[in-house]
Amino acid sequence: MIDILNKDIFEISKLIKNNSITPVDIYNQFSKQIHNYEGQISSFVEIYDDWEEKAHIAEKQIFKGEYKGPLHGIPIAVKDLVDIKGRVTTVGSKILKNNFSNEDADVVKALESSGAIIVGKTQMVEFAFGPHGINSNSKQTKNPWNLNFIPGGSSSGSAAAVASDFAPIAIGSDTGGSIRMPASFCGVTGFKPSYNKLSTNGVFPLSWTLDTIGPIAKSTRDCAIFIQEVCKYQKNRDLDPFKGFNVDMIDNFDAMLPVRLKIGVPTGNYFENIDPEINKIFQKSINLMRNNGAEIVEIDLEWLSLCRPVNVIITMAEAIKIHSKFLENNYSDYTYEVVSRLVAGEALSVQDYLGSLRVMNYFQEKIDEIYNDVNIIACPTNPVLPDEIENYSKENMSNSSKVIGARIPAFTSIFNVTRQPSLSTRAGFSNIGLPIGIMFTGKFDQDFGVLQVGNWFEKLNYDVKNKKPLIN
Amino acid sequence: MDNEIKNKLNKKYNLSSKDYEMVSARIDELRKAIKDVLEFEDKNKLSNNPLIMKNDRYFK
Repeated sequence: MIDILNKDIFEISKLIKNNSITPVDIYNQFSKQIHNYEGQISSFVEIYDDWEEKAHIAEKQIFKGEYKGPLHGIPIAVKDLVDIKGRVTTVGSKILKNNFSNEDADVVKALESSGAIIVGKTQMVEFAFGPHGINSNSKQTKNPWNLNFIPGGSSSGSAAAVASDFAPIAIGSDTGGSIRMPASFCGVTGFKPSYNKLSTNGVFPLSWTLDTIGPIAKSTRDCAIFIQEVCKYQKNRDLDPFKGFNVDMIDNFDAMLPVRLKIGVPTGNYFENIDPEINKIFQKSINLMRNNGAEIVEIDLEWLSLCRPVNVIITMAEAIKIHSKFLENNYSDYTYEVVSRLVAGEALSVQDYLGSLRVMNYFQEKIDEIYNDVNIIACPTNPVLPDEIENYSKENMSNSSKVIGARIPAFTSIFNVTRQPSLSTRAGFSNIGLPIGIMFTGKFDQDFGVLQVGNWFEKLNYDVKNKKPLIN
Repeated sequence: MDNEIKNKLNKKYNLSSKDYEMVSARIDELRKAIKDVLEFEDKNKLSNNPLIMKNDRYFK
């Protein structure tokens, strides 16, 4: 039997296509891994019992020559804010514990058309409102590289599940970094596409102005496959073509390398205020790319730091609009780590909200000018390393300036405001073996370029990419 | 003004002392964010329609 747990979809799909393995083989290996290790990680809310049956159906289809594409027969885990018909979407809350969905989200419809098999729902921060990955409503999701540490959030279960080889890919959502932050902390790859490249219909909102969905996977090329397949099947795709995604990813993507790449590295206090261990890995990554032909250009992006407060204000204003009715009737059912964020949003005025939207538009215009000089911006995904889970108890949460003034989303949240495509992938490790991510961000709508650069970097950094977490 | 808002929220939700502490800290943090953003808007004389964004796009 071929061991597929250490392979990405790019490799697995080729094996399926040439009948070297089947969707049932895939089911057997991933479900065994879940059986052995999920008890330690707690990444899933629910694992669906029709997974094996769907694997048999996919196997028959492929044997009959009805191969649909690179996601056919591939298991995919779904963050528990995405609607699946007949299933519960709790959004990590007690309040919605009986929230059965009447319809599939657009992304689920697209994935089912592509032949992917939805295997279950993953844990998340309550209502996707927090970067740490803590949810006191449920069994705490652990970081697979060190079980004492936070996995990052809000797509905590999706990142931990992929890092633990429970599924090769998972769906996350990202309003201020909720795909990229946990991807970085868990040592996997997370991609936030340009705003509204992928439909968010049927995805529970945190902030309709900033929300984006996207993949968390083992590799950048798997993120590219996900984007290609969802765009192929999502409705209204003719109205919103995904530029650059008219190639067959499986046949072409891996052979494509960026040419004459100019990488912008942000300077200024805001971007340089990072953990020394993160800085060391980031500089090493930059040197690696420089030594392989990339030109590195330092750019002063201190002005961009204002995107962080813009993100906070817009998210809090829209979140309180969404939650005001729930809060009135169910205040005590919210978790301590999220309720203060929601309630504080009531202090905002219409002026604050509209002023922030106005500034948001300014930054979308202004950031484009940077790309006259560079192809891509590279910076660390997170400025800080993951903290220990025990520091997020209610007692510590209210006392800790680290939590109240959390810096985890300092860089990621900027690119939700500018609505640019942004990818985090593993760059290296801290002294105690926790993963450290690097983030590549491209011009709005140039998602394909970001994926190309991420893929190129992963190939250069192969030794780091190949390391496996503790539980294996 | 913030104390008034904090007291209002305290009364509305009957906050525990820990929750009050956290809400209060977050409002203080938010106030600084608002100040920075509105000062920037003012300084740069931004007058665009805030409901129309450069990078907008919708699905039906």
